[in-house]
Amino acid sequence: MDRDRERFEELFTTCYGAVVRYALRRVDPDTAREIVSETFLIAWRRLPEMPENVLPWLYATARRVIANELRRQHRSRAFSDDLSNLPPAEPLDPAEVIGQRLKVHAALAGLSVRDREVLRLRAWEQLSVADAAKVLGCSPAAYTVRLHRARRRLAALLGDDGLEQLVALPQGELS
Amino acid sequence: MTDLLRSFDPAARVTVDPYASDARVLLRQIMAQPRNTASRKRHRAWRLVLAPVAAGVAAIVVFTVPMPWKHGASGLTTAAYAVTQHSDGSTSVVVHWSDIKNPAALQAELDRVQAPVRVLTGVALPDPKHPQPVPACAEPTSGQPYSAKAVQWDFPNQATPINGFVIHPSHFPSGGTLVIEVYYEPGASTPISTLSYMAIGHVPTCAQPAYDMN
Repeated sequence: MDRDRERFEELFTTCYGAVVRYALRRVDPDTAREIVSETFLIAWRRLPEMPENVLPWLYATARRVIANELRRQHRSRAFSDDLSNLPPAEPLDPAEVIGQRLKVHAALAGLSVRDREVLRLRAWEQLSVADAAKVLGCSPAAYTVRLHRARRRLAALLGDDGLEQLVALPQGELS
Repeated sequence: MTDLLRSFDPAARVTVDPYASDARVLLRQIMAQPRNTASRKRHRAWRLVLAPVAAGVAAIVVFTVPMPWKHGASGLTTAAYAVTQHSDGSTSVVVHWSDIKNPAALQAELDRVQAPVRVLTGVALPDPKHPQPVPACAEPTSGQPYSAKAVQWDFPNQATPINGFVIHPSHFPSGGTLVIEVYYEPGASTPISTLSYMAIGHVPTCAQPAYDMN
């Protein structure tokens, strides 16, 4: 048991920030706090089942907790996968970037929830294909296909060929 | 340009310290929890339920309409409920949730008295690898909390096997229907969680997917 406590404390310390950010990217801050708490509680209860590579497991768990929370909160407008809930990142160069960001914001909002998640795991959580696939419960090949399609749909919404490389796969990642 | 999507990351500049006091408090709270999944499951079972959003409003016990119990047919074994209309336009409903696995008879009775209530049942799915898509029939489009003036539960915030409520349609929002979703584990007769909300306009005809995370 002491070994378990030690392991969990280490896991918590290592992954707490990543899970907090994962939640903050998807829900409002108050809900994010609950999501993080519930996710680590589940991790504590399932510690013996935890894989060695724990972060994708935590993301996948947080994703399901969010789905449950979404249901519990009756899909009220205060909690949704609506991108309008997200605080925009600080602009790097207000004159140029804000316009682009607004464009990306609108394009992301026009994607399906699944497409958004596929892109977010790659661009925001910066997961490898293999780890992103674990979060979504699919094969790496399937994730790659989804990512490719999501990128195309995002690019189409952006209406700018130059933006197609937004979330491009590094060459050779699948090899 | 390549990093535009990444620069849009709303949490990119969020700094999180796992050694901060709030994080340590959370860690201690979690590690103080028992790891017996059975007890956890029971706790969750009664946590998610029948929660009118009416903070600060005292619950009014209206457990006064227990009879006559009506026994449903067509697949219902011991289904039991009571629906009573009152002269002030309100309707009292008392239900043995443990017996309402098929709510058709109860729904028919609610429809007969023109109570704007939809009762749906669903199975709490085992923790899946990834959430299932919400079927179109479960889309409420605009689920909202409701006031205790609109719906008074006998036992608010509890998923008791028997619970009752009084609806006051005059306090419903325009086009509002009280939706009650009751979830069971596969093969079980006792509900493990219920959910209620006010659907405005379109009313779902099936329960949303729910996951038992334990």
